[in-house]
This record gives sequence, structure tokens and C-alpha cells, in this order.
Amino acid sequence: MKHISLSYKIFTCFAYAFIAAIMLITLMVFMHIIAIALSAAGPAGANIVGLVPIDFTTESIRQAIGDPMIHRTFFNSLGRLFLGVAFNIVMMISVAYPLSKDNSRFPMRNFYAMIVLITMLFSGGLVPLYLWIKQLNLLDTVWSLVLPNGVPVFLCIVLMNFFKQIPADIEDAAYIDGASHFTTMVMIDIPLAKPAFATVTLFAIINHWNSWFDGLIYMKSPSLYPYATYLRMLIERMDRIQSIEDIENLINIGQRPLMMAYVIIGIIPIAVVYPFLQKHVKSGLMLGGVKG
Amino acid sequence: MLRNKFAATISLALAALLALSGCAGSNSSSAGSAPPAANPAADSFSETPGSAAEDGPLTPFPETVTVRVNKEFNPDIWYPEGESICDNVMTRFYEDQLNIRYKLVQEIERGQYEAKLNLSIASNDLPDIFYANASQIYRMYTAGQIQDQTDAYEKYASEKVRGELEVNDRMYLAPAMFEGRIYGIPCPEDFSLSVPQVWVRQDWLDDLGITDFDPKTNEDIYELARTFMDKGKARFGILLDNGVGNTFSCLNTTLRGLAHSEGQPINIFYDDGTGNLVWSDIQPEMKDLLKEMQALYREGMFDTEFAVKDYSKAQEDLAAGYVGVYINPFTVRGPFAKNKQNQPEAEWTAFPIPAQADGSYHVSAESTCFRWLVVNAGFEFPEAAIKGQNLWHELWQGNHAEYFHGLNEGEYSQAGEDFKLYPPFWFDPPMKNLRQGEVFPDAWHNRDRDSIASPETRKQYDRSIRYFEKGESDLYTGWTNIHLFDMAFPILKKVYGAPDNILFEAYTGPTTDVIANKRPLADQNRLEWIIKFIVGNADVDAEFDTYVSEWLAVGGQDVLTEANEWYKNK
Amino acid sequence: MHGIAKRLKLRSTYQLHLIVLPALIVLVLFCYIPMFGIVIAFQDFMPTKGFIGSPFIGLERFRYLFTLPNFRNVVVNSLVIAVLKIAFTQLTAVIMALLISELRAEWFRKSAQSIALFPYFLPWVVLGGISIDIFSVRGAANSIVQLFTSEPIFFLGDPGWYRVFLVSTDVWKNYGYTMVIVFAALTAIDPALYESAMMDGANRFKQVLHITVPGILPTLMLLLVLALGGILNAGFDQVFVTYNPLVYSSGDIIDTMVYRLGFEQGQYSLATAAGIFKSIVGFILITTSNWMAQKFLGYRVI
Repeated sequence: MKHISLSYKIFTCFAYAFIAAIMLITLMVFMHIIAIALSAAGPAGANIVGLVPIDFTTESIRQAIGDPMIHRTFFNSLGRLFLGVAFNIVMMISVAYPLSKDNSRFPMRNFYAMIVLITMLFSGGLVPLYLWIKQLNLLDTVWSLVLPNGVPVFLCIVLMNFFKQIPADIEDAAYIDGASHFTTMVMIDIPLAKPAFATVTLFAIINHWNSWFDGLIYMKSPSLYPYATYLRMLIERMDRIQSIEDIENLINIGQRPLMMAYVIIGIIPIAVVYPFLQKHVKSGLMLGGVKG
Repeated sequence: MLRNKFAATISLALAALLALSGCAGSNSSSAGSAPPAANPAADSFSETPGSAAEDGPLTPFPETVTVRVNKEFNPDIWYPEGESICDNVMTRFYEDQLNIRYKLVQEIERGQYEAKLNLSIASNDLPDIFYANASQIYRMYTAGQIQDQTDAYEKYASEKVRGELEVNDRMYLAPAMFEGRIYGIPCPEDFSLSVPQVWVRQDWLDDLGITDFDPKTNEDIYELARTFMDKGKARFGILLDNGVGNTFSCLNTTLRGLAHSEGQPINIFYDDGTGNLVWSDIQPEMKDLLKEMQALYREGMFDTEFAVKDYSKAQEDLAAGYVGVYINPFTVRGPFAKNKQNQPEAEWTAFPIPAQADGSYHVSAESTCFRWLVVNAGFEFPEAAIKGQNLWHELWQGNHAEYFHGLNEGEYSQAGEDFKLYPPFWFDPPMKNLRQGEVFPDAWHNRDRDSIASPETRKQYDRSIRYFEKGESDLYTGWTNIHLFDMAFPILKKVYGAPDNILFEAYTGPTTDVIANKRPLADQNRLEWIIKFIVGNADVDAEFDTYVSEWLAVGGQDVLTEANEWYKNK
Repeated sequence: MHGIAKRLKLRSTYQLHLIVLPALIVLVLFCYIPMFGIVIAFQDFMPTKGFIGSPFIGLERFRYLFTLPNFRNVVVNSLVIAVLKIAFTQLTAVIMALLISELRAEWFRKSAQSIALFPYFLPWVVLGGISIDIFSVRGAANSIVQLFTSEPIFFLGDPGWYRVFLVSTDVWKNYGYTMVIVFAALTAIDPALYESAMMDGANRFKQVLHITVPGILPTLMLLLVLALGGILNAGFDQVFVTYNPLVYSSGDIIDTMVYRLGFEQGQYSLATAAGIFKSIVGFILITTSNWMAQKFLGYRVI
């Protein structure tokens, strides 16, 4: 890199400017959300708030924090998050480690891979799953949010690919020393795959934190909803007109700042874990076909 | 730890597999008493010795009956400390009066009721007594999930309730009747929910010194809307939405209001004079209206983006004060109050829509019954449904009205209009507001409270007095009451001369497979085309026939055929 | 040595079976057992009679579905929107990744990556309303458009522009995710390759073409194959919160139709039939593309 040509210099300048512009747009969207949350209802409803709050007020934030439902649903979400992510991780190991062996070492591998992949494509649909969850007496429990999404196939593939990168020699050596598959998995592969775990954990967290439909379906009372479901219901409630009571209640329209306050509160947990896990994502997200 | 979990999972799975097969069996046996079969429990109850003689519409049950119900969860409703959605002063009153105890088994987030009930229907996990819409009732009827309420209704429905529900050839009962039997008790709203009036910003009229506005033609309305825009008052002329979720849309009411003077009905079936039912919106007369709308759109009369806005988004424009002409029925409390909150100077006035050429009114109106009260097939006491509605009517308009509205004004004033959602179920007598419109204006202008007999009307009178004379800041009822009671209802009563001058939806037959499944497709097609015509994405002269043939093809023809078959045999 | 290799090959696999067992149980319980529910697509499903007791009506539901007047349109919309989204997301991700990796300021690269990934975390129900504001006739996007033409573009009401709106906002939201994956693939490329290329006098552009692109191709192939499996998922949430009657003709997709039929109108048999159709198309595409990747490019993707 000793001789950097002029054209390359110009190119990098453009690249800097271009990327900076795109990132700026993204940042502006977030500033817009924050600006609305901190604005008064009037200007926000009239869609004149840009990047700076108009008639600055923290009233919406305070109102959102004061909502008793927010505490309950937030707590519900945290519960499903811890349980669900822990369960996901166990399941991902269970799928990824054996399937990272190639067919010659684990002859059933392709069969199992097929079984896992098919679930990505086919499902019985809403009603059968609902009936089954009801049958298992899991309605209204956190397990209805944890178990049906227990095996995140895409993340399993990510983890599997990472395991595949680990040189076979290390394992072979361990085996010659008398280690079983289970021991090598626990002692060698899992510790080596830390960045991959950070990555899949981040995405498992996001999946659980943002999924709302299962909460809506499986919970019979809004106080059991996860936060994402509650947030969605709040936003939809402004729009859905089904009965005369809804129209009479349209006094509640124009609550955009309040909604954005809820949105911001909903982002906080992700924003907290993101920096810790994000730095591993680059080295952890190993995806790729295997030559051969 | 892990192993235990897996072991537990496996055993759970096996148990569940067994349960599934067993359950399917038991389900089918419980449904053995398929649709038309009467409910044996009801019969045995009425045969109970001694109870038949004194058993009237409001007779309490000899033993406490527990009714499992679902309710819409609505965080906006205020409850005093210690009371809740299904345990409050009203549910206790029902228990005292009828010996019915309501048990909440499902709380449904507002706006999701129909969708979640669909799921409950599919999984056969239904409460005892609950609301359902017509197509849900049809599905539950064919699957044998709900029971025939004819006997309970005939025996227990009070005269007052019958008087309210059986108007106009039982049009409210019909969609939930199969083979002449009643499967759902109508819970209608005011009959005029789809009958438009012209609402105008009075304060803008005053500012501009317009004192003689009284729309005789559509052009008068457009002229005023243009003036509002030209003078910088309004951002666009007439409020319009995209009609999605079309029952309450202002697209339909605006079309209806503007089509009226041409004698063209909107969005209903009607008899074309030859004994045939026809669908209003595919008639050639629609072309003129659509061309008129297209010209207005091009001129800037409507929001360029009205097609993107559903009802509530459009109402935000009204609340923000962007528009001064609004063609809609009276159901606008919330948006008007919000508008007043944003613009304290705002005042609205209602005018009748322009009359037909001969000065008469024949306003087309859709049915305003959207839900019925149904009883689970397995529930022993079907009469609990109608008895509850009898009591509701007494509370709302009858013998207990003093008590109900007194509470609402007293301890429960904070609940406001939502107090009517305290009881387990409610309906609004469809013609009630006509009666209020008859009494209120004179009483209000003469400050003559004593001339009002109805406790409900008196309550509203008091609220308005408190707002206008005692400075209470109750915009939502105190201020808007005047719009309803002093402006909208009198127009219904005096001008439209309702219900004689109302052209009701002529298809009042039962819901069928075609109506339940194909009507929504046809409706969506209609909406798509009408909006395309208005914004000019389709040419009216060239493509109207395409629209008609497409509408017929997507299911309209089937619906028409079915409606006519019913009409001939009526 | 030969003996050890043989022993390694013949190494007992019972523990591997044991490790995979928990996931299989969960999959059987929560995916395969409910999968039998697809029988309702072939039944006149009666809730009171269940899956076993409801009468079978064969392919009636499919026939009805395929004869729905807008079905063909809905399938075409799903395909077009999904293909555009897949193509542009991948393209954007690769270009952005290559551009960013050319930059030398470490802090700039890092923050660019973080910011790019962040919209991925926001659900559409939140972004929907905001994007409608931005792309409305009086919105920010149109103030840029009006630098070039006087007429504003009706993004949300014009059938053609609506697709542009859908694809561009979706790419903006999701490219960061793919970009991070591409980055990971970039770091895995052996730096020695670049050094020897420089020795040979290859310029930066040639290096990218001959080393970088082949280096990340396997990753892109995998992403593509997986994406093809979901080819008929054109993004329910996004369309659901932004569409309107003017753009039904170009924006209504299978998932929104299934939602209306199933969740709103309760015709679950029909909705399930549509779901099966989607799955079969996805299955065919994913297996053929996997096979083709293996046959012509020599990669076993899955």
C-alpha cells in the first residue's frame, strides 16, 4: 500500500462522504422518533416535528413510565427473554454441534439436517398450533412463547458453520486422548465458539424481544402480554375502529408522542445489550457453503 | 436438571397425544346435538315445576347461575378502587336482580375481538354468552357451537326490548336467524349511524361573515368548502378517508350525502321497482357521482392522500383543524372534542344533506346491527342472555334508569360515557335518539329541565348545563352533547322524518356461506375501484363496465343471486 | 497414522445422536405434531369435530383458492416484491461492506457498522407510521424529489411507486444484517492472497474482483438459498401497516391475504391451503437452488 494512486484517494473521499450520508439518514430517523416523544401532542399530530422537539416536554415519557401495564408487560418480556434465550442456546448447541460433523463422521447427519430444515419451510399454521398449545395446557404461560420458537433454525446454521471452522485436528487429538464427543463439545468447541454465541444470543434476544404475534394468540389477558404485543396493541388501538365505543373514544387520537415514548422504552433493553454483543458479531457470524 | 426437563417434556408429549385423541372424541360427542336440535337443558328448565307460572322477563334464577364471559380490555375505562371489568357495581346489580354471576374467562385487547373470537371458534373454546358478528354466527351455527334461543326469546323478552329490536320487519334479528329460528339477540346501535349530515365549522362561517349558508344543492357545499380553502381557513375542502373497515367510514357517508340529491343510494341492496333486488354501487347512475368526485379530487377538494388514510387518520386531520366541511352522521364526539381541545375557538353546526329534486328525502341506510349475543351450545341457561338484556334496557332507559344514570352522575361520574360498559353486555335502542331529538332542543333553549322525562336525556342536559353555564371543562360530553342533541337528532327527526324517509338495506335475510365468504371479496373490490375512480387512476366512462364485471366475478354475482332468491321467497 | 484415521471415522456416534435428541424432541413436539394440522386444508373443518372427525373434501379448498380472482395477482406481487427485496438487500449489503472495508479510519468503520445494523431491531409496526410520514406527498422524501421535478411522487398511492417504497425501506431496514455477515466473510479471506496479488501488480479493483468476490461468494450463495426458501414471504408486517386500496393491485401479497382470510374472517382451512402452497413453492426453490449451487459451483450450501 505504498503507492496510493490519486484516483484511489478520490474514491475513498467519495466513499467516506457517501457512507456518512447514509448513516446520517439512519440517525435522523432515530432523532425523529426521539423528537416526537419529546414534543407536545399538537405539533406531533400535525406532522410538523422534524429532528428537534417542538414545545419540548417530558410529559409523554413520564406518562408512559407511569402506566402500570408497562411494568407488567416489561416484566413478562424479560421473563420470556431469559427463559427463551437460554432455551434457544441449549437447542442451538443440540442442533449445531452434531450437524457440524460431516457425513463421513456422522452418517445420519444429512437426515437430521433435513428434519431441521423442513421445519423452516412447513408449518401446520395458526389453528393447529394453537389447539396443540391449548392441549398441552401451555396457554397463558411463558412456555407458549418459549417452546414453539425453541429451535431457531437460521441461528443454528450460523452456529453450525462456526463449529465447522474449528480445525478437525484439535478434536481428533482430544479423541486420541480419550475424550468423548460430549467432552470435546463442552471442553473445546463451545469455549472456542464464544464470538458465535455472542452473535446468536444477540439475535435470539432480538427475536424474543420483538415478537408480538405469539403473545397476542396465546395469552388470554393483556396483563400477560409481552411488551412487544402490548406496544403493537397500543399503536393499533389508535387505528382500529370496530365499534361505536371506538369512535367515541377517538378523543385519544393524536397520542403520537406517547406512542414514541413507548417505542423508545422498548428499544432500551436492546440498546443496552447491543454494544456488549455487537463487537463479536463480525467474527461470530460465519456463514458459508462448504467446498466439496 | 436438563435431563429432568427432557423427561418431563417427553411424558408431557405422550400425555398430550393421548389427550388429543381423547379430546377429539369427547368433542364430537358433546356436539352430538348438532345445529337445529333444540337444547335439552332449556326444555328441562322450563318444565321445572312451580317456576313456569311466575317466570317473567326479569325473574331471578332460583339458584345462582354462573355465566362465563369474555370482555374487551380497555385501559381507558375508569373503575373505582376495588372494582374491575367483571366485578363492579353493575355486575353486582345483575347478581342481585337476576341471580346471574358473570365470570371473566378471557380479556381481549380492544380492536382484536373479532380475530380472537375466530380463534376461539376454531378451537371450540367459547364462553357461555358472548357477542359475535353475523358470519361468525353462521359458522358457529353450522358447526353446532351455539344454541337456538327462540324459545328463550319468545318466552322471556320483555315488551320494551321487543319493541326496540323487532322494528322494520325484524331486520335486526334476521341475519342471525336460520330456518326461522333465532340464534342471536341483536345488539344494535342507533339506526342512523350511516345517515349523513353536513357538518360545518360555525366559527369560520362567523369569521367570514357568512350567515346564509343552507345547502340546497351539492354545489352549495362545494362553494363553501372552496371559500374555506381560499380564505386560508382549511387545508382541504371536504374530509374523506379510504373506507377501510367500511362500516363507519366517512367515504361511504360522504358518497351517500352527495349522491342523495341525485336519488342514488349507496352501498345497499334495494328493490328496483320490479321486485328484483339490485346492488346500488354498480348501477349506471353511479357514473355521474364518480365523475363528480373525480373532478373534485382533481380540483383539490379532498386531501391528495385520502386514499392512504383510514378513518382514524382522517379524523386526526379534523382534530388538527385542517378541514371545515365534513359529511358524516352524529358519531363524532371524540374527534370534535379533540378539535375543540386543539382549537378552543372551534364550533361546529349540522345541516341536512341536500334534498332530492322534489324536496323529499330517501336517504339510504345500512343496517346498524353489527353484533349479536349468542349462547354456547353446552350452556344450560340460554334465557340468561335475554334476561340480561331485559335488565340492561331497564337500566339504560326503563325502570332502573334513575338509578343507573344517577350513579353515572354521582359516584361514577369519572367513568363518563364508559359507564355503559360496566354491565356485561349492552345495546343502544336504535330509535332512542329520535326520541331524544324530539325533546331536547326545546328543553335546552328554554332551560326547562322538567320537560325532559328520560333520565338519560336529563343527564346529558345537566352535563351541558355544567359545561356552558358553570364552566366545567367537560368537552367530551358537555360540549359535544349540543351537537348531538340540539343539532343532529332534530335533523333526523324533523328533516329526514325518519324512519319513513330512510331507505333501509333491503336484504335482511340470513347470513349464508356466500354472504359470509364472498361478500367481503366483493366489498373489497368495490372499495378498490371507487377509490381508483376518485383519484383518477381509472377513467369512469371507459372502465366502469370493467369494474361492474369484475365486481360480479369476484362474488358479487353470487351474492346478488342469493339475495334475490331470498327476496322472492320472502 | 492410517489406523488412527480409520478409528476416527469409525468413532462411535451414539453421543452425537444423544446430543441432537433434545432438539429433535422439541421439533417433533412443536413443529411436526402441529404440522398434521395441515389436514384442515383438505377438510370442511368443524371445530366441534376436530381434525379426526371433520369430513374430507379433497382439494376443494385449493381449487377455490386458485380460482379466487386476485390469487394470481397476489402470487405475482409476492414474487416480485420478494425477489426485488432479496436482490437489492444483497447488492446493497455487498457494496456497503466493500466500501466500508476500504476505509481506514477504524472508528468510522465501526460506527458505520453499528448504525447500519440498528434499524434491523425496530419492528415494522413502529417504522410503518414513520415511513408513511416520510414518503407522504408533503414528506421529506418528496422534498428531495422536488429538487428534480415539480410534481411530487405519490409513493403510497401509485401502484408502481408503492413497490419502490416497499423495497427501498425494507432494504434500508435489513441490509445491515446481511452486511455484517458479508463483513465476517471478508475477514475470513486470507490476507496473503492480497499481498501476492499486489506483487503481481493487480490494482485495488482487480483485487476485489478476483479475490474478494470469490471469497464471499459461498456466504452469498447460502444467504440466497435460504432466502429463496422464503421467496413468497414478501414481508407481512411491512405491507400490512402501509398498504391501502389504491395499491392492492401491486402490494397485496399472499401473507396479507392469508391474514384477512384466516385471522380476520376465520376461514382457516383456506388460509392453511394458502400456507401449504407457499411452503411447497419454497421447498421446490430451496432444494433446486441448493442442488444447482452444488452442481455448478461446487458448494454444498446446506
